[in-house]
Amino acid sequence: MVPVAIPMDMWAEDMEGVISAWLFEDGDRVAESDLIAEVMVEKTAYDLTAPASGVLRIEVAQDVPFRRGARVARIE
Amino acid sequence: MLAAEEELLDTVLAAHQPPTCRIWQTDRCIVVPNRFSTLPRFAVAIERMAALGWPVHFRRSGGSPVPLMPGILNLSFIYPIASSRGWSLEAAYRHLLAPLHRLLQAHRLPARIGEVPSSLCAGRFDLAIGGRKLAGTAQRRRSGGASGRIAVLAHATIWVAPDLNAACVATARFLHAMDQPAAVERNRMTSIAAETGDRRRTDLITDEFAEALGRVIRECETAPIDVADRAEGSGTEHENFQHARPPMPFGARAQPCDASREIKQSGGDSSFGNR
Repeated sequence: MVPVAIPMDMWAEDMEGVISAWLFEDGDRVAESDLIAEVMVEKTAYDLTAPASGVLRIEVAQDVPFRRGARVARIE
Repeated sequence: MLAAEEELLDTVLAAHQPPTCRIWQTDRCIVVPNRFSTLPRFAVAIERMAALGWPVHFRRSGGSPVPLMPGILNLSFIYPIASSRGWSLEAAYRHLLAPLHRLLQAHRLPARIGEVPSSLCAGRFDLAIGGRKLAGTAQRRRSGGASGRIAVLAHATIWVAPDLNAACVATARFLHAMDQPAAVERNRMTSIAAETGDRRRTDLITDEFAEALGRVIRECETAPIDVADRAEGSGTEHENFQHARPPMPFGARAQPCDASREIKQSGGDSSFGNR
């Protein structure tokens, strides 16, 4: 199992972000480096890519706030 | 134009393109973040808006649906940074707004950075005059370049001389068509033309403003960037940009684009008159 976490250095400020769009469904197979979600912080959009290949298990739903470093999914 | 900016972001990330500044406007349309495409009534809504003469296009930067049309200028800075830690979101927003802020100050228009509730696509780094939104901002940051390089697309939508009523009505219609709340109050929006009482043709006012903005952007290349105040409720210390060097040279040459009417290209040799 490989965790999908928001990188600590994705943004500099102590702000909350959200997943503005999951690009795969829970249970979908993804490949390493696939673009799997869009992260939004203060109207700034970031790409979130898969750290490994496998089945995506979403742990944080769209629009639920989180901080840098949060785990938002896992790859099984 | 939006797709062209995504391509520019890619090429800047790959270091195949120098930092770029663009000032542009386009025919009327509504631009929406990708996430709206998952709403159940999205397809119906875009059909309805197309029939009304407002095609819908996607954008990769943040926020909510916004109208674009003649009289609304777009200012885009596309540039690389070494890390997000070294160039915060707030720094990038202020850097983007600094030339516009300076231009408005020179015309005695007291603009302030901050959110305007019930305005179109309200955000903490909007520019407002008297509590009415004049410009909105958004960013897109892409990583994956060489040596951990990150490319920033910082974008401002500036309401110079559009038909404010038409823009607000179109956006509200689009949101209603998707059963989304449309808590936009027309009186929370303003434009340069409305604030100055300028009643000339939209294209004259807009072209003149674009030229002046381009000139100020070039001036920022050699003069310190000065931001008057901090975002209200930002909770951060005021960052003094007085002696900050921009992460990209203002006035960098823009790429030509066929997709929309590019008002001015910002280039190494003077395209903006007085230099």
